[in-house]
Formats: sequence, structure tokens, C-alpha cells
Amino acid sequence: MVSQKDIQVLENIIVEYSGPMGKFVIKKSIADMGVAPESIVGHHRMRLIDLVLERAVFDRERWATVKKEILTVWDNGVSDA
Amino acid sequence: MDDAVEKRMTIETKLIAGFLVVYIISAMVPGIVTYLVDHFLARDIVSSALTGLLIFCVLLILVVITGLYLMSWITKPVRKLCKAAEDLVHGNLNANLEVVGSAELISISESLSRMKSSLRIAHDCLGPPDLDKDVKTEMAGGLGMGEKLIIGMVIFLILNPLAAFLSQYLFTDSVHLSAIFSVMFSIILLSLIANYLYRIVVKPLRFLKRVAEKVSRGDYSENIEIRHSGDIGRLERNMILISERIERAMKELDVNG
Repeated sequence: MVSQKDIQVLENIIVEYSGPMGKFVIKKSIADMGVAPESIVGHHRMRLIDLVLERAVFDRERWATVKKEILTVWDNGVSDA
Repeated sequence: MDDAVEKRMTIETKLIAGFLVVYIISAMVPGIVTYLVDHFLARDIVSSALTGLLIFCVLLILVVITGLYLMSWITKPVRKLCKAAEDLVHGNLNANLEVVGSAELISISESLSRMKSSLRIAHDCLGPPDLDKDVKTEMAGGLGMGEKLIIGMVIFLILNPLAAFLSQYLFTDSVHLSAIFSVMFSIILLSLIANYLYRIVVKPLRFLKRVAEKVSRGDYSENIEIRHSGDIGRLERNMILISERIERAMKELDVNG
């Protein structure tokens, strides 16, 4: 499940790489998935992250780092970045 | 990422290093030139006035070289950022924002890179921007940072020898007092020029860095303003245009709604 807190974390990290328009990408990606954030579970979480990265982080070399950063905070609540 | 920025030399450190070099040059060159004239040229052929002129010319050349070197350290990255920001303003989203320079400039380049990504997202969603909607911002011309740096150094170079003449004139009896006066005068002069350069180079870049960091993350509590002329003024103007364009796109897409 992706909670409101998780979305806030995602926003903070994506804005750090893509500026204020990152927020829009997250909203649009969730909308495009066609489900409520609370219903995003399991591998759909990864799909959401991939969708956001594809649309907001244009430097593909950074994808792995950003993905790891997001998942670390989502799973452990702390960022090692 | 931030650690790497912190480890870099700040502009202040570079300026201090540059002025230290100028100070050492101005202290050593007269002695070296006088020694060379005394040993390799006949004193009766080369008059004192000519030696003085020779010293000044050598000093001027060395100071201009140091100034140009310092310029490549500080002003080249600023100009590169200015050009990249201008490219972004003109709709070129492939502008190269990578700079090698001080911590402040790298931070500004990171902020611009964030803005570039936002512009690209806006472009993907809304199509190319309407350049006519950009608010026309006027800015004063003026000397670039590099020119101001060299002027500061040349002023130091011209005024510093005055200390030696004045101290010899005022304290004819005491060599110690004369030396102390000369060093004090140099320190005061250096402080004044350093303060001037701090106000025209370091302070504006630090302010721009702080505000750009906020604006590039969507925090508009502080606005970028055109406060300076020359290179920094141009950079400020371009950043205003970019942030306005992002703000417009955010309103259009109702990002915060």
C-alpha cells in the first residue's frame, strides 16, 4: 500500500531531481494507473516508481539511485542519501 | 551530492588565494627586478626612474595574468551558466549545465538543472512555451565580474607602493615604524578591496544560490530579483524568466490544486 506519507516522500525525492513539476508527474502517474494510492501494493509500487522516473528523471543513469532512495525510505523510513 | 559541493573551494577561498598571490608578487617583484638591473645591466645606463617603470610593467603583467587566471576560475563558469540559462530561456532543453567551479556555482547549476527538468516536463505536457508571454525584464549593462576583479587588483598594485613611499617619508628615523606602517597600509588596502570584491562577487552569488535552491524546489517565499549588473545580473534575469515559465505551467496544470 502506498500511504499519503509515502507519496509525500516520493514528492520530496522527485522534486529534488526534477523541480516543482515533479509533483505533477506523481499525481498524473497515479491517475494513469487508474487506482487509488491505497490500492497500490506489491509490484504495482515498482510500476508507480518506474512510471514517475520515466517521466520526471531524464538522466537514466540516476534511475537506480533514485529508485533505491525511494524504496529505502518507503521500507525503512530513513534515507541513506 | 551535497557533500561533494561542500568539499569544493568556495569563491571566497579562491579570491583570498588570488589576492595572496598578488600580494606576494607585489612584495617580491621590486626586489627581483632591482637585483637583475643591478647585476645584469649597468646602473648608469638604467636610471632609477626606468627601473621603477620596469618594476611597474612587470608587476602589471603578472597581476593581469593572475587576474585572468582567477577569471577563468570564477567568471568563466558564471558565463557558462549564463549562456546555458539563456539557452533554456530560448527553449533549448538540451542546454549543458555542467560547470567546474566553486561550491556556489555548482549549487546554482544544480538548481538550474532542476528547473530544466521541470521545463522539460512542462514541455512534454503543454507543448513548446509561448515565448511572448515572458515578462520583458530590463537590466542595466555594466562591467563583468572578471573586469571588476582585474580593476580591484590593479588598484591594489598602484596604491600598495604608496605605502612604501609614505612610510619612508613619514618615518625617516625608524626602520621598524616604517615597516609596520607599510604592512598596516597594505592590510587596510587589501581589506577594502576584499570587501568591495565580496560585495560584487561573493554576496550576489551566495544570495542567488540560496534563492535558486528554494525556487527550483517550488518554494516561492523568496523571489529572484535583478539586483546586479553584468554577468550575475544576466544570470538573475534568465533565472527569473525560467522560474516564471515553470510557475505558469504549474498554474496551467493545477499542480498545487
